[in-house]
Amino acid sequence: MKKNLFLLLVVAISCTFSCKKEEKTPVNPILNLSNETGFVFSDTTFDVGTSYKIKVICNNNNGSNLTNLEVKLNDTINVLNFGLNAPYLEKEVTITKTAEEVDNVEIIIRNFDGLTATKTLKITKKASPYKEITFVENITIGAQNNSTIGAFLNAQTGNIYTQDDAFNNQSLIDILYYFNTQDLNCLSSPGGNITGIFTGSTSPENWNIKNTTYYSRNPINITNDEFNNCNNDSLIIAHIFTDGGRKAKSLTINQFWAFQTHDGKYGIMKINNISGTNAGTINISYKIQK
Amino acid sequence: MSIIFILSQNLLAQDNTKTLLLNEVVITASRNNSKYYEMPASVTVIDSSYVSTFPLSTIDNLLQSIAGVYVNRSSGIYSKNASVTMRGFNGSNRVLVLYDDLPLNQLAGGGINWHLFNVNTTEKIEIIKGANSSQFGNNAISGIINIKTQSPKPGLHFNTSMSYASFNTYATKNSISYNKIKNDKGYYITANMFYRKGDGYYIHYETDTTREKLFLNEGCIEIKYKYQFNSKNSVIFHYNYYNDFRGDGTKIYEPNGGYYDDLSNMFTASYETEVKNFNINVKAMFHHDLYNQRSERLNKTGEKYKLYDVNEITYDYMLLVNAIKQVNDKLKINFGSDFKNGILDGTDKYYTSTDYVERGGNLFNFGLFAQVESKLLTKLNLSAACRYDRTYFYNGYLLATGTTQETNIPNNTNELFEHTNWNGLSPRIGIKYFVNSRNSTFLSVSTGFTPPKLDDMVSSRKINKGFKLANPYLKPENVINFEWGTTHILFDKLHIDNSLSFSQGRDFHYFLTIQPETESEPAIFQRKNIGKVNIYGYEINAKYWILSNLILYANYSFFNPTVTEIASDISTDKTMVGKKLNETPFHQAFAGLSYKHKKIQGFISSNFIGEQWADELNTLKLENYFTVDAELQYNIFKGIYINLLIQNALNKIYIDKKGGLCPGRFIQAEIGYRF
Repeated sequence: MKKNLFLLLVVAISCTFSCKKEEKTPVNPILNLSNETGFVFSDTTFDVGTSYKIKVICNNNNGSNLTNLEVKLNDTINVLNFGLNAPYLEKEVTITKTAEEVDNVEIIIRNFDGLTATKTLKITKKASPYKEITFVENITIGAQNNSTIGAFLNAQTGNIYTQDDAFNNQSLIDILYYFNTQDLNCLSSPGGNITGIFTGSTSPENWNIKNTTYYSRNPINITNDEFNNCNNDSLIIAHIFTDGGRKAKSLTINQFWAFQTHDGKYGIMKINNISGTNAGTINISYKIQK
Repeated sequence: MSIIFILSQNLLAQDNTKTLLLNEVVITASRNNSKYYEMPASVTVIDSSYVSTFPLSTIDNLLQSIAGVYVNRSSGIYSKNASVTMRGFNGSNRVLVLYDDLPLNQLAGGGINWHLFNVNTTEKIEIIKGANSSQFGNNAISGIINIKTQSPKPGLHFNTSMSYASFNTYATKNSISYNKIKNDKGYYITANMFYRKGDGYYIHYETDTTREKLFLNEGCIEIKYKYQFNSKNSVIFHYNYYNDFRGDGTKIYEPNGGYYDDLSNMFTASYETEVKNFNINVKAMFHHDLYNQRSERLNKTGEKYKLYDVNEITYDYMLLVNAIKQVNDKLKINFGSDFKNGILDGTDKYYTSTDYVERGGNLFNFGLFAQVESKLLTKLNLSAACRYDRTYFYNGYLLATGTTQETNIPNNTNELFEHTNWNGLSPRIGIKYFVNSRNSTFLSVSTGFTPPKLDDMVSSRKINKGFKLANPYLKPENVINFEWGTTHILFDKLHIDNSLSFSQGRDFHYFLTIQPETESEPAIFQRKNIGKVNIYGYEINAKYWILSNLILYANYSFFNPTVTEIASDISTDKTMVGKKLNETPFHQAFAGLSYKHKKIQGFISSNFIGEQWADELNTLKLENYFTVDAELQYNIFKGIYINLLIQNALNKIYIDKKGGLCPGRFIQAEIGYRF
């Protein structure tokens, strides 16, 4: 009797706690890239800065659910790390061509078991007729009487110089900024025949080297997007001028001006901000041919 | 001395005053088999009669009726675990829990799994309040709770019952026991099985498609065997198995949603003998826990889905030796030694990203202690003890690969933490003065010591409120406690005791915000030794025998825990000074009425839980709440009985620290048969 009761208890316990989970055999998922129009699916070439799309199509191959899609660029940039829990995935990914000669795009799909499927694309930089440019963003230049921020700029480096420093580096100065009641806010250069604005023995009038920068006669008509998305000198070339002046006068915020430095490099600048006094500042962004 | 002693019905038939003063109940949690009324400390004993009548569904429900003890089980039986804290201290690792006199707190997380304890086999619970590391060392920062299991009655006995409760919860309890000990020789064996399953309830206000009920599926087996060689020699083997599988309230794509799956195996053995008038006890314990948590989350916009698993394996094993000698009528001594080793191996696998984290380490603790109890004068008792602890942290590691912003751990982390060790000295002294047979008072100074938790030292992982960073440089926490208490017996029917206490925690372990939550990043926390925390409090207990079998219980406690000093090496969160500890209510009150008769027995109780802060920076306050519980049992015929349990009868829906709702009213009907 005692023995039977005990056995009954053991059997009851065994039945209660014995259960078996149904498990799927681990298999790698399947990964494909769509060859629809508008999507990249094999190695190709693009201009630097060009955005292109890939369409990833994956399924679990009748195995465990897909859990993670990772798209890496050149092994360091994580373009996408997407979590999911589904047997099928279709996802569009937009990537931008970097300045690297060849971009390695690695697409990895993982399933719940940690098994993966991978595709790699090589995106080569397209040989372009356009040249590379330098982008100088949000640089502030002081007016002639500003005691803290210099009025003189080297266009390739973006470095600002005070009057005394500029005097000692005359060959580096491409652009200067001043304000007066006649020209109002004005960008010019040491060769711009500026008199009576800067004072003292180090004023540009007394320099030996006077680089001249030319500006378009009027502001040019481009949009912010065009300016921001410009990754080579195509936009600059499109706005090359032949009859430029040595001053860009009456500058106002959000204007775009084309310019050419003494060494023949063309550029486009945007006026971001102006304070409008002879001790004030101007803030500009510009792109210039390298 | 502050004592609530809950008497059995047999004792109630006797003269109450005599019973209260002369009862020989032994408190084994003292490690010296002290008599409860001689101990210069706040002690509470819950006996089997109280256990059998109290409206409870888990053992920790009983503790919420004890002054100064706060039980956080906001989802009732559907809670992942209970958090039991005492006397204004937060953190369940600051309460030492013994199971038949063996420390159960795991070295990995510091806490214990309250589901391991079987309601049916609990004989009594001893509670010693205040810091008390002088006997068992670790974790006894705010008190000790000793859960004692019962020995079966002579002969063969069988008990089976089935119950059905709210939220489509059904359960079965079965036990069988055979006791053949006669004239101090023989053996007994008892086996218990418990199984419970329920659909659960929605814990969130919103019931969108990502929410799921907190379902529950749990079972346990307990087997205990004792062989008594003679009156002085016996051996006991005890095995506990517990497995649960419960939901976390979310379900997005996974078939079961987010869940917790915990499997626990615990084996203990004890040998008791007497050598040259020394009562010697040797106990050993092995506890293995396998924990798996699956979480899935979708962000508010529904664009980002996260799925990850936490897997932890912990091992704890210990050996404890204790020797007690009654030297003469006035002097009792005991001394002993123990060691405990804890191992944690955890992995965090993120399926929806590439993060994979491995973490783990070992803690080894060795302790020596000695204790004396002396009757200095007829009316004066002295108790003094001291313990030395040495704790080693070794083999700590944190490895991470493929990490992203999910974990905020640098990629290819391969940290092998430096080995370190600490020493702790925990003295205690207390005196008790008997003014007369009805009034007594005690004064005590005691200390507590606890090393850091393994999990805090090695685990950088997700937690409920954000992300936690490992801190391998944590030091132990120490507490000193000053206490004064009195006991009074009035009109032979009313027992009142109260106590005033002041505790100061030094190098206190507390979460600090390393980086606040932003729109895209979770808050980052780290456990640090923040400095000092002061807690002063008062508690009063009363028990009134209206009739010999109709008893009224009432108690009230107030504890005010304040951060008073921030360590100089902590550059952030200086604003913590003056903040109150979170997750600990300032005020608590309890009232209950029990009735016991041959055919019918019942208990109605009410609980008031005061306001408390939900977070460390005291920005979110949880409202107070009041609940009423009741249980009624009726013996129908020859061992057949029915039982009706109602918890939270007023259906008060309160909110926990995570914003989760409590289940509200819970009703359970049970029918059983025993012989």
